[in-house]
Amino acid sequence: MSQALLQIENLKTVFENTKSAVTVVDDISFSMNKGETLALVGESGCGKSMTSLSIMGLLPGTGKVAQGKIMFEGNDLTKKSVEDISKIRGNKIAMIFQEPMTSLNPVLKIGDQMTEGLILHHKLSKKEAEARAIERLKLVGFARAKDMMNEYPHQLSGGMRQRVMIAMAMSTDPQLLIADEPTTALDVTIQAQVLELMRDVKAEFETSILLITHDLGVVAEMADRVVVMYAGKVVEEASVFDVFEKSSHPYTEGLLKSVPNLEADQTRLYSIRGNVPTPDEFPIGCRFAPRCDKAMDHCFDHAPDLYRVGDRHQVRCFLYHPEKGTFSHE
Amino acid sequence: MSNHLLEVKKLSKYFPIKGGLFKRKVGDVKAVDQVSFYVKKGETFGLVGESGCGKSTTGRTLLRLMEPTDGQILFNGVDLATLKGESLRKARRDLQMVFQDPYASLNPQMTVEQLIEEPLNIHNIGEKKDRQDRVLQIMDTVGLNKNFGGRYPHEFSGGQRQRIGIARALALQPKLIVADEPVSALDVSIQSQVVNLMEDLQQEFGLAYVFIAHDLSVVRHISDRVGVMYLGRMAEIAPKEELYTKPAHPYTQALLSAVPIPNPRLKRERIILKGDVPSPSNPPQGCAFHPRCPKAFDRCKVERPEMMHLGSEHYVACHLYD
Repeated sequence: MSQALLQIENLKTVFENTKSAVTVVDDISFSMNKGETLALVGESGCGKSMTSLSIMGLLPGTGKVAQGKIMFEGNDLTKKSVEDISKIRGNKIAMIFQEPMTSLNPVLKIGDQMTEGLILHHKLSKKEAEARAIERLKLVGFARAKDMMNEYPHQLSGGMRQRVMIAMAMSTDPQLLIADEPTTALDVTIQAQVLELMRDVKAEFETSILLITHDLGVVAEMADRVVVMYAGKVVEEASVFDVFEKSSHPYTEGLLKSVPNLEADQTRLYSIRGNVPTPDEFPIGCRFAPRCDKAMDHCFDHAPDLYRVGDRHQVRCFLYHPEKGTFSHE
Repeated sequence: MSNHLLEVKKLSKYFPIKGGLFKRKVGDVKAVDQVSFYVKKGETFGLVGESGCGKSTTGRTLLRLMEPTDGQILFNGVDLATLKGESLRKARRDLQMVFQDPYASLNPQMTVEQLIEEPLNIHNIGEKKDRQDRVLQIMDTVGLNKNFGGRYPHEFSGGQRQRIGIARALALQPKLIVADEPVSALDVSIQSQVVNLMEDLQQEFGLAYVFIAHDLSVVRHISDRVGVMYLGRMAEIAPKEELYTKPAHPYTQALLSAVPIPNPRLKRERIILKGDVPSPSNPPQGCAFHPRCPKAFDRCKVERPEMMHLGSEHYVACHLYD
């Protein structure tokens, strides 16, 4: 695993106030190789965005990494000073967000925003930075890149803004691109454009992409490996093919069955009963047990570990415990 | 024709653009432009399209939440577009709406019981006691715990709140519910619960739905027939099986090919559309889709295509089929 670009070990992210602490990311581990696209999948509140913000050192408010390591190119980001992190952020690690309008500064021209990072991180002159920015805007498909440098974000459509965000993120040749729901706010035909662009960018620069999404269609299309999260925990980790074809965790299975099929008719949709728990009310034992059709008595008061079920395929479920037979059944 | 519960004929909704020193009208945003379709008793008519295509405005205009600029909305033979005052209020008993955002569409200061009872009060239905019984009965029908009637919307999750929204719409026993993106704010596992609930209610009460959504997979699942809108106009209408397997309009074809399918082995031929949806204040001449259409020819630039009948219930507005 020496070639791992990013390795997260036992990451725990906590939001604290004087009275209580809420753990939103609980003991997460995964690793990403160079050039790999890893999808972090889960429903709202599962901790997928908080994982990415922990990596970037951008946790809001009282959030902090309480435990664990974030190894990037062999260095532990959690041990770095604020200045060191900001050298890496926007340079070796870049991020694109769900809503491009809120992540672009509305009063700055595209050109100013594009060159800021280059001048800051790469010590380029203004001229060089502008040339690079124009080149990257062309790369993401803008024919009139030069004119766009003098335009403001509100003059662009949602899809165009997201392409500007990608151009900006790619301007410093990052090794890792973190994309948090990059296409969720876009229409399907525009989503198709942006996904194609991300694939092209990845092929050209061998960038690793950490893709955070709830859309299983996007996962199938983009990812090499998949990490499924539920209630702050990793519940399954596998290759994209294993997740879709040999999904082992009842939650992953349920999620896949809940999605209506565009290509065939179903009489009735499968639905997982109950609701997604919020971080202050995570169940003890297996966090999915109250909603799980296959839960055993054991699941309600014991928390399962990740068990290996195949090559680089792990599942957090007692059904795959080597000594499953010894658990008491109802 | 008698089984058409709702028949919409050449419905238009224009918003004026005002400008200049005296705020005079300088143009129109043609949000809905001569849209026609019908909904049969007890069926689900899906309305799909990208943002800004006018699907939500169409939905709201049907209920006269917005005033139509032109056209007819025949509901059981009565033109809703011409009704006023008391007769409009009575007609609305039969048409109800479910909104996208269950967080924004429920009054946070009312309890669940009050929220569901409100439509019954407005229409003066029954005695207080009857109304309360009816509220409990509806809560049970939509899967809300009867003991939670005294709680406020913020105490519920998104899926539960959407159940409250549906319960409100159901209270008056309508014949048609217009549901505007009812599941798009919900998580996947909750989305399927609400879709299933809506299907169950349709079975039980013989409801018709106009189901407005941008998610083509959900629309396929729930609809009997589907209409595809682009830039305020109806591009294609067909029974869902036909629309999803044999889309006729180039826009429908591109739209369907753009949807990511949850199957990593599937490598599909994808039609990537160039550019963005144009502004409805200044739609292209001729066919609104022609600047992005891979199959456009000269006629498309000058002449607006009319709806053409392709057989059975399949209609398309495209010169390729003329």
